[in-house]
Amino acid sequence: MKLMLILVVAMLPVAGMAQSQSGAASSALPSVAVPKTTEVLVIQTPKQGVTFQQVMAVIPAEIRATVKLYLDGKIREWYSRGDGKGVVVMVDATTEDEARALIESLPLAKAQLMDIQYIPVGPLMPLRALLGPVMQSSGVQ
Amino acid sequence: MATQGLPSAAIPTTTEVLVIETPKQGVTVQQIMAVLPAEIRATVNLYLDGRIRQWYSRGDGKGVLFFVQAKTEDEARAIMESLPLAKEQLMDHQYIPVGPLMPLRMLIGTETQQ
Repeated sequence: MKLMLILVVAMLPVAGMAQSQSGAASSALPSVAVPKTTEVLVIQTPKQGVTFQQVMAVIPAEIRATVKLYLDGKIREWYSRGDGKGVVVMVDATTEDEARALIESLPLAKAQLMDIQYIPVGPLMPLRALLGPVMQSSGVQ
Repeated sequence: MATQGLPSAAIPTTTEVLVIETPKQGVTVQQIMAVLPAEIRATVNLYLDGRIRQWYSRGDGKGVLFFVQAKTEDEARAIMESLPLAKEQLMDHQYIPVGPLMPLRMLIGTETQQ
């Protein structure tokens, strides 16, 4: 119960609200719910009007550079999108800027062919509730 | 949006679906917190069943991410919509089906010297 009270206090508007660039302050989470960033998800899609041929011209160099980054431990996971709209990679970085510097060193980004979205991520913070007395209390349900 | 001319060889079999879940505009932290204990239990159960492969909180505080084991977006949507937060209509969900990084195929062909 004590942990639940702490979490309730933390979510009051005055104290410890996480930054909310979109201005939607009421939907921003309290700082206790914001993780340390351990990786950055990067979603790369070809810009409108870019052709497959344009992308393929750069892909051999992109693949070699990407595999090198993977072998250096800077890329943790990589995927092609199942809807054919580009790629998703998980980058070892603690800030968005760090991930951006890494991705912008790659041929595809340098060729200005891609729209790139960065989402910093970290541990799933709500799991902390499993450690506290709140989960031992029958009052939670 | 069309696939912009990607040949089918470049499109992977979907092995997982990335789900980006953010609170809807105007939803308060209190509304989320009321549901969170049930959400955590249901989420951990999905993980233990092998349906959720990875989970993250966003470093910008805007929500959570999951990699869901699913072959289609619809399959992932059915899983996510079974969760308490979704049932309360508090969250927006974005689904991105993903699979193996197909350009790696170029490294095992006969043209690796390029």
